[in-house]
Amino acid sequence: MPSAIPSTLNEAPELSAKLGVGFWALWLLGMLAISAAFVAAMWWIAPQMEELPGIAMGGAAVLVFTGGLIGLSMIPYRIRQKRGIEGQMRAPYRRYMLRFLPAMLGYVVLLLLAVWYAKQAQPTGALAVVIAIAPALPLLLAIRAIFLLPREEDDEYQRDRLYRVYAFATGGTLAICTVWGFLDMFSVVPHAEMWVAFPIWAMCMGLARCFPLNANR
Amino acid sequence: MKNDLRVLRAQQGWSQGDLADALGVSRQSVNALETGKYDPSLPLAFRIARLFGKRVDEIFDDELGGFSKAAE
Repeated sequence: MPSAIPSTLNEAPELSAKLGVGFWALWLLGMLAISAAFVAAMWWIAPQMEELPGIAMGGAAVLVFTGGLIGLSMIPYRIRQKRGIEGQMRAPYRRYMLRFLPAMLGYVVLLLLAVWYAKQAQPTGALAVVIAIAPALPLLLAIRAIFLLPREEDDEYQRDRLYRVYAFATGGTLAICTVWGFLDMFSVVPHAEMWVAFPIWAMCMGLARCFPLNANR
Repeated sequence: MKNDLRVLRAQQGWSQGDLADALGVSRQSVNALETGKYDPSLPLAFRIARLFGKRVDEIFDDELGGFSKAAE
């Protein structure tokens, strides 16, 4: 078995795949700026959401800022693609995007409509249940898309990594929700609705991607 | 697990992308295998061995040396 590995064998593309600290700092700043602008816009729009124009503005703001975040998050991938390091988006990811993005779009539309209708008509009984559950249904489709991705991933390393990231996110969500739940019970922190579990899971997943969750550490 | 994948690949004059295509995996997988961040499944290990015309234990070393040494 040859022991010495010549340093020239360190793949050149692997080196140019690294985009530099400056790039990532700018990228992170851009993501934070868009998120801050979104929060500020919603702060301004929220009081006007009793009426239909306000609802439409809220919906437009969500779409514009989400589009901005998705666009910016794709830039590192696009740069790698231009440098010939990344190929075309692989089929499982393409299918994931085609499932996940329409589901989120449906969620935004149904949530805004449900909030508006509930305020206008103040439904009760079965209709209230239908209105309340409507925004959750597209989120169930989004969750389905998330868990179909590793099932359909045909690359075993990528599948292994995805499951590790999901496991980390699930552990993180359980930890945060457990601690927050007890703090909430003793009225030490503001009350949080249960639906925050999904955004917390997504946040933990983003965090997990920053860690080397490899099989051999 | 240690492996000689990088050396074997270089002997063929292949890039990580070439090896990835030959094995039907992603380039990131080849990189993770070469840097020892990921151990392949048994089927993938056999595909790799077959591609280079070697035995699995000639490419991968579990650093225990038990099985292949005992078999010799």
